[in-house]
Amino acid sequence: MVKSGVLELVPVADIELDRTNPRIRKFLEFYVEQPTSDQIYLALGAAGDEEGESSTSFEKLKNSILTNGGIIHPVILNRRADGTLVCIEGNTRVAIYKNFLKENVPGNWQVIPALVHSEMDENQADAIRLQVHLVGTRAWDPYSKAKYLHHLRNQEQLPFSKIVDFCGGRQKDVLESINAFSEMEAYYRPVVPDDGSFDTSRFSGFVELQKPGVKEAIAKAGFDLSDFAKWIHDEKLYPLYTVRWLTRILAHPKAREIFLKQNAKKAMEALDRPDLNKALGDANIEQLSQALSRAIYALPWTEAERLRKDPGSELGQTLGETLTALTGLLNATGTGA
Amino acid sequence: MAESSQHAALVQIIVGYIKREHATVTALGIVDDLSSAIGAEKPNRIEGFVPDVYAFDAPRTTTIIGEAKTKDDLETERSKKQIAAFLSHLRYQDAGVFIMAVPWQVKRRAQAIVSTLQKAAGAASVTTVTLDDLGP
Repeated sequence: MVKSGVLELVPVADIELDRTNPRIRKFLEFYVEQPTSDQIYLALGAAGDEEGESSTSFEKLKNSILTNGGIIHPVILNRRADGTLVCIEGNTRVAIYKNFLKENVPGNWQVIPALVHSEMDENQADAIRLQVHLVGTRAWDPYSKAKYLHHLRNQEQLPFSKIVDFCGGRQKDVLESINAFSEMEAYYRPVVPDDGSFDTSRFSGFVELQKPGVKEAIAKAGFDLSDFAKWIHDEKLYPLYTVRWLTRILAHPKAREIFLKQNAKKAMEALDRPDLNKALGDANIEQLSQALSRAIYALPWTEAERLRKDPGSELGQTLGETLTALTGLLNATGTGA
Repeated sequence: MAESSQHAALVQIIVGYIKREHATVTALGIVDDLSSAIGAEKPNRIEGFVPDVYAFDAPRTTTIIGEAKTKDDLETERSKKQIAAFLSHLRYQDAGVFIMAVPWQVKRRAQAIVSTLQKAAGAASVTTVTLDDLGP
């Protein structure tokens, strides 16, 4: 069993980063000799997390530490028998402090709050890593996050720039989240029969609604956001990513009719799609990827130029959809760059 | 001035204008297309085109699109399609604002182009602003 450590403010210069940290081990295996602090910092920046947005989340953490003037959760250190300190949990945060010190970023980065354990053995270190990274804390669902942001903005009147800074500087995400929450409350709540039927897992449909083109498509087709909320409630837009197909569905008379009678997935089948011959239909994703890469490399300049001039063309839209699907797959499987 | 640095300077003029003129919109987020850093926030694509600047607030009361054009780029077919797409998008927003920044020599021409495209897009409700590089 892991004993509790002692809370201390520890000089950052005294802390060794953990070279065996599972998050970065795959990167550090490239180095024959002991990696330097800079190389570890680079590896921490490149290493992924579950979101598959490694660099983004690293930057978010960095911005958040900068805004808060420090960290909220202490890091976990092990004091070895010879008195040296190694970081068991919180290597990225320690590395960010070290980097701030090196770059003379204004602030107190000399010491870091830490729970210091004494002569912890490898099993105890593993137990901590497992609890933090494999079990972890329970993340809030997106609706609850948005509700809290909305509360901070509209009830607590916290300045917008402050909220954005606390969230790691992603202002577009914060705005879309607050607007999605407002619209879900304004339009979805009235269409559900009672509070118990209010399904917060439908929130991502309202996040998709914030993407350019969706509201315009709804308005152009003569509908409004109450109709949209009903479609969400009636599961016409299910799975929720089908919201992003609305622009094409509502602009296509046949698809629109099918959508209103059935749902978005059925409607998509009615959209004009090129006939896929048998060979294409039977090809696996690897073959299709290779063929697509070759076709891109062999694309005539005139066609590339046409695409550049008119990215809203059918080809432009199809490529955009392919990119979205591909990025989603790579992120979900952790194989993305 | 090289074309790309001139374009970047024009984008900064738009951002400065939004910060100055829309300072009363308290929760206004301004995203521009200048940063090349990985993971940097970029404006959303609108009908295939990425605007140079996109700003909106929460709850949504204002939507602003800014586009910078150099002299050579102003009259191209692509630019016209792009501006038409942005105006069409703004038409469906409450208090949509389209800001164009161009070198001072072509400011009048830019105003004429935007005005024509605005009529064609039925976007009379959109407020349009044309800025130049001579400063306020």
